[in-house]
Amino acid sequence: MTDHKPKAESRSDEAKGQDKAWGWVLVAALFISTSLVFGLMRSLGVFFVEFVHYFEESAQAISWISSTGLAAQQFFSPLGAALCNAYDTRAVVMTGGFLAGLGLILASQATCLVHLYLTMGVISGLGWGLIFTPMVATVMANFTQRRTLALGVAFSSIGISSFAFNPLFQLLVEIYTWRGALLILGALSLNIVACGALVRPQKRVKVKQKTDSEGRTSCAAMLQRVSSYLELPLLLERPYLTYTAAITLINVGYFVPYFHLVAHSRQVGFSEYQSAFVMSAAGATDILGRVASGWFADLGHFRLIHLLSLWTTLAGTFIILLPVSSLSGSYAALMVISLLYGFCSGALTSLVFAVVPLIVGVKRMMGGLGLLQLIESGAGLLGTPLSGFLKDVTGNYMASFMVAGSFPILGTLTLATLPHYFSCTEPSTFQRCAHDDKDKNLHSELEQISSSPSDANLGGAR
Amino acid sequence: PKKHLSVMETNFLFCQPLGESHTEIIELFNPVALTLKCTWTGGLNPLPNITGYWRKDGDELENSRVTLQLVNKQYDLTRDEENLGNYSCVFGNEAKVDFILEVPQVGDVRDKPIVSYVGDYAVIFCKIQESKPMPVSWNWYKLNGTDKVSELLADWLLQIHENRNTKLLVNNLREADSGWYYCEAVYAISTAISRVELKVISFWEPLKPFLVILVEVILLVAAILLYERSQSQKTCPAENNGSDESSSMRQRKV
Repeated sequence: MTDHKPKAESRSDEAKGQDKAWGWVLVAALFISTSLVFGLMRSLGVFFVEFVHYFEESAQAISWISSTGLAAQQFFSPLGAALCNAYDTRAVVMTGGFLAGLGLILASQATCLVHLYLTMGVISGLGWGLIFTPMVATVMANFTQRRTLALGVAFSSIGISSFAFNPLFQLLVEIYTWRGALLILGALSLNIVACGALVRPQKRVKVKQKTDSEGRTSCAAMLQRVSSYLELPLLLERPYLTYTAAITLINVGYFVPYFHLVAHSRQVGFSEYQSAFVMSAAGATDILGRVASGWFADLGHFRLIHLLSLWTTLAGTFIILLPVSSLSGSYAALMVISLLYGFCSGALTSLVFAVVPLIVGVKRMMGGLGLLQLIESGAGLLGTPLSGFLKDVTGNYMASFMVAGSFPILGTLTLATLPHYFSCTEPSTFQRCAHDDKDKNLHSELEQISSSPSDANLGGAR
Repeated sequence: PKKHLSVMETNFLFCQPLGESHTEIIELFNPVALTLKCTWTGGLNPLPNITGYWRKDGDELENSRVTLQLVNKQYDLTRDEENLGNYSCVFGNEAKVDFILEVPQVGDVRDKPIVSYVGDYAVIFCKIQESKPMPVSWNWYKLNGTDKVSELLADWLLQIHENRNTKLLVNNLREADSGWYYCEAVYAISTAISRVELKVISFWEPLKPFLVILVEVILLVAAILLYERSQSQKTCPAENNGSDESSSMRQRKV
């Protein structure tokens, strides 16, 4: 990713150490950015209560704000990836951070609901879309051996920050009302600009850009270039399509407990406090799961794809067991299953992105991540209404969770159709493209965890 | 233990709380004649007779002291009452029952101030629970120092009363509009009062932390760029090959 990647022989040990340290600096940057994107999104509920009062609109109308934001974030993810391919990752992330902050700052002056859709929804959503994929790709490109752990640590921020943001936002709203609080949130979001500045610029890009644009100016060539920036050809490759389909299936069930677990426990007869506590407990093991699974995956005892299958199957099973455990009315049983569910769903989250470079190669990972975000998100938005519908039809959450839990298991079965799935070692290549001899090195590197770190830098091993 | 009794048309109330310390809350909307009745079993070793009396708002009521006989293993103490207040019947110095006669409380009281900005508007709510009868009317007033200011009909204020709800809309806020606003639900027997604090702040208030964070971000970005410049000067010779890999992210196979 960054052009400071040395050839092993051209740099001193000290510089290598510095580079490794830089990887963890980027993890910290990703940690902060994801908490300011997803942690912030999760904690916006505090504001929605205020909006309902202030604008005197229905809760549903208000909740379209976060839906627009999330949709924009996911819709613009491939754009973010393409811009990084075309220009400079640093500039893209910094722009994203600026837009995310700008959207919230403008939202603080809203006088009607449409202003909020446009500012918090579209402008901030566009910014968020430009941040997440490039940052994840940057971190992954800086790691080979501890890549999953790095992602796990960075993603744990979403849970940690939403624990911290909820009371913080509440406090800000009480002191400054929603207007002042949004203004301050906007300023906090501008910290993503600083995170983006930590990504080192790619100096060669500019040069290449020139030769590209000098050579071709025709419309077809433009389209071709855009499609290659977006990595659209990936959509014609079986491994990528299979993987995307599997993740999409997993996503159908993934969010259901977030929305329905509290309602379910309330319906079974537990108190409001007990129900909320189940969710917080699952949130806590989710954080633990992300880090633990990252650490375990990087030990290298198993292939990532197998670990992903394991955690996904377990998560699906525990989602199914959630309503079963509360049949007897035992709070302890529900609690245990929720803790296990939280752990497994956290564990699979770390792996979902870490597998992408193994499927498409490090070089096309940016586009691959962007498109994956776009496609999988549709399913995430579908899953919750589906399980809500099942609840309305059957009267309780039993069928909802049963169906929600079977989708991740279905996802695992889809994963099993990936080429070389049953091989115990990472196959030398997943993709049929011709340009990936570098990835062979990468994959063998990934297996040999104990090998010398000298040429551990992805892609840089050219 | 507290008990809420809503009494509307009844003109006689008979309650027999047992036990040593007990509070009975009785909500009244209309003037009624109540009979308060206390019963006590006398503890472990009941005396044949003890002294009982009534207190109102902590003070003993005149002429309420009576000698009670133990009848059917219990003492009975009764009183007719039609005024609101906190009453207690006291058995010797050993047991008492508290009665609180009051109008219904205004519900959902906001314990935190409503904050709004100069030039913006604020809406202050008061409401009575659905299960309780409607007040006869609502009143709003503001406390100015210690004086009630009822000039709440001024043109930037709008009172909207809807049965059990009332709201006060204050338009075009000025800092002078800060303070405690009182809403009164008027019932035949008395009025229930609630108060809400309104704080009007200028937009400068949230701008202060905003600017602090903004400066922090600018300094951070500047520091990162300066650090990078100093690093790249140090490692310049080593970078010739390094950038090769940057193109890998973008992998042009065009």
